[in-house]
Amino acid sequence: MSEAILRCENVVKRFRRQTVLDGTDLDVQPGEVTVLLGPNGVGKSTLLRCAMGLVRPDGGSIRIAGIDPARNPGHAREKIGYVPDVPDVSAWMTLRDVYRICAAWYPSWDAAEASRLADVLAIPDRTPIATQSRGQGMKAMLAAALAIRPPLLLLDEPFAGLDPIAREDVLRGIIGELRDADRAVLCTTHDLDVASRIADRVAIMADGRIARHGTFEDVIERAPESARDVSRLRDAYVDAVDPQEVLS
Amino acid sequence: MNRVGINLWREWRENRRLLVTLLVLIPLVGLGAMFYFPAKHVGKSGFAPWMGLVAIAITVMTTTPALTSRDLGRSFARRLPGTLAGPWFAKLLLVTIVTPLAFLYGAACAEGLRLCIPEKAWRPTTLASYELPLWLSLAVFVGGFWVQCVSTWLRAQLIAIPAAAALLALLALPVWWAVEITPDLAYHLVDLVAVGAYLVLAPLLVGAWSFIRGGRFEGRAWTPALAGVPLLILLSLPVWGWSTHRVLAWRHPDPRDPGIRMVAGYLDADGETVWVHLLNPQTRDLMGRQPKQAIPIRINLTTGAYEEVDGGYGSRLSLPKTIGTSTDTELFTRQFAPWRLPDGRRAWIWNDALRTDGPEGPVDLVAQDPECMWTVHFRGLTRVPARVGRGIEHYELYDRYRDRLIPYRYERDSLLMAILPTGWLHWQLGFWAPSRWTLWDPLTDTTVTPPWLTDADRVLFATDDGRVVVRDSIQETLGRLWIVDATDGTRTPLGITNRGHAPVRGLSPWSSPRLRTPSGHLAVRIHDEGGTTLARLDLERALLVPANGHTEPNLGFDPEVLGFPDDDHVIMVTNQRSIVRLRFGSSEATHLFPR
Repeated sequence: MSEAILRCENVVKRFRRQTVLDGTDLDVQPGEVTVLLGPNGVGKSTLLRCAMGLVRPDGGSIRIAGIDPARNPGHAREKIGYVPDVPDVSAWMTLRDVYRICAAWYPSWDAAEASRLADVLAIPDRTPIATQSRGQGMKAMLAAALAIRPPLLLLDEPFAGLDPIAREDVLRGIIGELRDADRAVLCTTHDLDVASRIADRVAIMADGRIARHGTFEDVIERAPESARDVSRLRDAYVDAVDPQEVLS
Repeated sequence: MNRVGINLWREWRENRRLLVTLLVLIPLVGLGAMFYFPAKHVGKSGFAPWMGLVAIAITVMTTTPALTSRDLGRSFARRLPGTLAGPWFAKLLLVTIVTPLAFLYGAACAEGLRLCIPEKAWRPTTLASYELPLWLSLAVFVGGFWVQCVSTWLRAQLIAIPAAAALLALLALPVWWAVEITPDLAYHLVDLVAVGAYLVLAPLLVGAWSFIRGGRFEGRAWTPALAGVPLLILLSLPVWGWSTHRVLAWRHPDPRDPGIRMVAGYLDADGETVWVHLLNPQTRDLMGRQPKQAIPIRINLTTGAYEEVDGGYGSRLSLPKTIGTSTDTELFTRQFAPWRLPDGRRAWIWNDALRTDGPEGPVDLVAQDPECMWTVHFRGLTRVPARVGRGIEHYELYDRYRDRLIPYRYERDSLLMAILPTGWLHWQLGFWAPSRWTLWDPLTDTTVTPPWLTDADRVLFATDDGRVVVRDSIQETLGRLWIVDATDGTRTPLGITNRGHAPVRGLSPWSSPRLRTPSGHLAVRIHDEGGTTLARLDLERALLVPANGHTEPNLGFDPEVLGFPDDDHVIMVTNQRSIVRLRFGSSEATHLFPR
């Protein structure tokens, strides 16, 4: 196995008295798409923001290609393409504006790739992203993140809040773009269908820790039933987390 | 485009709508200002700068509160590689560029409106009648930095301006305190620059630190404040320390400090204690006037020890009163009694009464009148006790030779030069005829020309025994000194020790009544080519005995002489800094203070 591009060891994060991450361990390898599953509020986004150096962990360590993002967020972020759960750009920004900013900040920016992605994903580049549909906005965020050609792509619930048609549209658009031999992808979601379609590896979070982690097949084989489809993953998921959290 | 350019471009795009709105709003405000305010006093020239100031204020109020907070949330800009330094300086640059431009734009709008609208139709603001102080525009400009700084600590943009104002008031309180108490700040360039640098740099540094360091991780709203406030306190400590030091130094000056001057002093009766006031000669208040506040101190000339008296910081005019709290004030006044009666008794004014020595203590020389008060009248050369009352212009002068009060008839072209046993000597100013001496007898109301004076004589002052000291040249040239007896015209040459009857440039008594040696000899100033020298007048020997230990060009004010420990010595302040003891009739000078 190659060196993990993202390595989280015993990461702890508390907000006031609530412990969100309680000794989280996770490795993400290049060339793999890892889906981080878990119920709302379990700490999936917090882990990603810790990896981005936006949130400082209270304990443990995170390394992005050997770089501590809490100490050196600038260098760490150069290696990360990040897609938030909602477009976080200013209301006036178009895709073109986002590209212009990214080109100045990311040494690995690939303008040709950016242009290609805009065409492939059919994103209008002169319309403010805030005025476009949510699905278009997420595709724009994804295009900007991919054109960086990052060794690590972090997707924070990119399909949350999308209606099924938009979600399918986005998913079809990006699914082929995610896979790259040198790129690691960590995608948080609680959408098992999405997970079953894109995941090479699955990590399930519960109580601030990684309850299960392995290849897709490894995880579902631990399930009590033998079907190799999304229902198997659902069973594994329910088995890993507190049923009350799933229901909530 | 590099990152600096991108950051600037991003700030422009973020604020473009607001700035365009300002382009419309500012002329509208100017238009309203032209018509709204009543025009009482007004000059049009001041309208443009005032509109510039209003434009700055509007710009600062609308742009700065929201500048930083939008990047401190979950934003695209925040998750870019690199620190937040770039965005911070872009915001700062935006404020620094836009605010002066707003001033120019506001002023240009005002001028444009003034030219476009007929003069009779508009009413310039009342503000326009006043000159716009430059510091006001600068203050509003710098205020923008403070608002920007405070806005990094607050999620609620609306309270950024009042919060910044409150913070600034809190921080500036010690500075205001120092300036209020030591109002000469405006004339100390180094201090001004230091305070100005603090006011400009503190919000820049603290704002940058709060934004870049305090905002690097997502957290609570006050996380940037937790980073910035300690730094602000750290930066403010020297300012507060400076303020405290300044106030303490002002209230408790060291008389040995070369910058401190001694003014208005007295030698105590014990001969070894002096009371002086300390004053900073550089001191000016904000109106450019010398403040009257000074610090009275008592110095022991034997030991060199000094201490502030009566609470220190006070008024320079209250020194006799200050001493009066420690000694008997009338005793003090009597000690420096200005007048001598023909029988040799002293006379002085005390508590609205003309007093003299009686067999059992001070007595009234003239019966008191509750409707009148006593003062010292002087016009010409003579200082005589005068009673005033029953009409503003009604003076009655006390004639010590006739022992009565005589109404003083003011005449514009007549100067009373001396009250003598033979009459009141006047210098009659001639406009069509030459000026001349006259002698008026108040008892008979007759006026004669004194035969014992020539028109070339210049009367300098009257002596205690009823004679006058004259110089035989009325022009500002060298002249010889004489003591002239007004009864028989006898002229006695007034010599100077070791110089004989040599001519001098001038001779003048001190205006202060206290300048007498313990046995009553007058102290006078000899003006000569080399400067001015203090001298003792020995009437019996017709001799001036100078204290040659100190001569200076500007020896001209009474407070420089502190007193006479005996008939042969004088203690005085030289150069407004040092206390020395001089000996009459020699060049001996002993430095007493500072040691």
